[in-house]
Amino acid sequence: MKKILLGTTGLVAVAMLATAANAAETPKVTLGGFSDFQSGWTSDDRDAGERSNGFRNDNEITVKVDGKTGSLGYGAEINLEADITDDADNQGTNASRTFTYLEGGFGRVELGSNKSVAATMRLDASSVAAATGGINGSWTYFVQPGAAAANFITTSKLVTEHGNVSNATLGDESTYNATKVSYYTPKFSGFQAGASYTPKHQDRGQTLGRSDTAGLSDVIDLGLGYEGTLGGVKLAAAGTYEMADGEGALAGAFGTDDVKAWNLGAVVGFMGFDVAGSYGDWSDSGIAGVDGDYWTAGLGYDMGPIGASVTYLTSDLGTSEFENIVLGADYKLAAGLTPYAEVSFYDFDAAGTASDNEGTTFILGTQVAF
Amino acid sequence: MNATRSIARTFVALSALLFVLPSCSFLKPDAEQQYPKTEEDRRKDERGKITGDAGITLGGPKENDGDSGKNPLGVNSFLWRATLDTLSFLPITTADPFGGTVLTDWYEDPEVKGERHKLNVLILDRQLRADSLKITAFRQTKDKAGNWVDAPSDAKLGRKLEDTVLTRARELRVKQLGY
Repeated sequence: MKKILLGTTGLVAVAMLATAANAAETPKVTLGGFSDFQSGWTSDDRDAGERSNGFRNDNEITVKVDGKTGSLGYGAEINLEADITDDADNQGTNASRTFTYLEGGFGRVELGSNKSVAATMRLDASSVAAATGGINGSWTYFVQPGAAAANFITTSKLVTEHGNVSNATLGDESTYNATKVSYYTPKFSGFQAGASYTPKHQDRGQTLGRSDTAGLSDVIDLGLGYEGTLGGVKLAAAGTYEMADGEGALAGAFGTDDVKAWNLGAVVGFMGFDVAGSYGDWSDSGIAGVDGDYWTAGLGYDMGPIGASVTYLTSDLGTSEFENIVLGADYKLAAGLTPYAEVSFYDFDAAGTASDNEGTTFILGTQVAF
Repeated sequence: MNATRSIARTFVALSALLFVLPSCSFLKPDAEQQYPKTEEDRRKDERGKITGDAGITLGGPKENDGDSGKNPLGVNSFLWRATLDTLSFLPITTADPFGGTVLTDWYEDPEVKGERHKLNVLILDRQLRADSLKITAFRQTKDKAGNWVDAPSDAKLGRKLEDTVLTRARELRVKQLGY
């Protein structure tokens, strides 16, 4: 009897050692990326002396490191910009997003130059967009600003994710990846919360933000989301909030005021159709005396290899108004090969007519992902 | 300014609570944990990659795709079982689970006289992938003298059978492993 018991304890001990050894997995490195070719035709009020057609090539290489020790997952992600020129939107010199992460029963922590929780958790029309992302997609690369400078809210994002509101820097991506710390809770019955802290909104990568007299500091982003299914219907709702202290003028008048902005959005999905809507409010936009708001509505359709969407945005910032409706479609021709087409009807309307611009841009492109 | 500070303080208090929640027994985290991804990442996930689900990986734990625990066979066990399952209507001459080959004998369908088929099945890998399986079909017809003569086989027959076996293999994997 004793011998059998000792034997089994020995076996159990060996089994436990084996599982402990397996619990620490060798970290793995995953290489990936994409190559995107776009061709755009634009026709608007600023056509004089401008070509109507242009090509654009956007490439990215992603390096992901993932390891696990016990119940702690860890790793990093580096999104390298692999373009022949500097990024058109100021996303970054060599890379657009770089961060390390820790994940476990406590949730997930991300440390680095990355998107905030307000950016990843928000839900709006762009959440159901096909092709390049509808209202938050590539139309910004093919559109000329109005003759005079003016500020517009052109995408459905909160202040630091939206970036510079000047029409000279449409789709600005110089501030969304400021170096920050983010934390996401695990999901509890479909609910999940997140928080990010960014000391200086204009500093990222290796730049250490010490300036206390310009830009925004102590940016706090909060997010709360819910995802669930009721019957055959998918429900998702999310609220995001951002606040920051304005330290002084940076670009233009930005930084002359604090930031207080929030966004509420929801997506309902049924039988391949997704309906989304959101409302965003910049009660303090970071520019003294200027506030803004926007709302979006979108319809997406996804069945098999075909994706299509209609997304709409209308915004107010101070005395400027902006409206955009984007129709897009994409087709999964093969694993990683997705041709797409998108047409955007936009209208910039500021005080006076110098910054006004109304037009259409049509984009045809293909994305190869690996 | 004060409003900002009090909101921040409230949230810090709430998040401290959230840190505690995972250890509370009455509030269980969902079985499937997912963390929010950026819009672009979500779209890319839907579109797939040339390199497949795993992508190009260096290092990492050895993946025994489709096998739980030790696999005594030299090839993917689900593909093996699925092959034997699907080809059960044919007489099997050789079945080698270590080399991963199944060779059938000539079979004449009683409903289609004068024509007989033979299959060679090669399972090339431990992974359950479309290119781990290769099925070649052979066909013979009876000539006027009553002798069996080789005839061209339908090129698509091999692919169709591969699809059937792969589907069955995936069914078996889902039944056993749940994914």
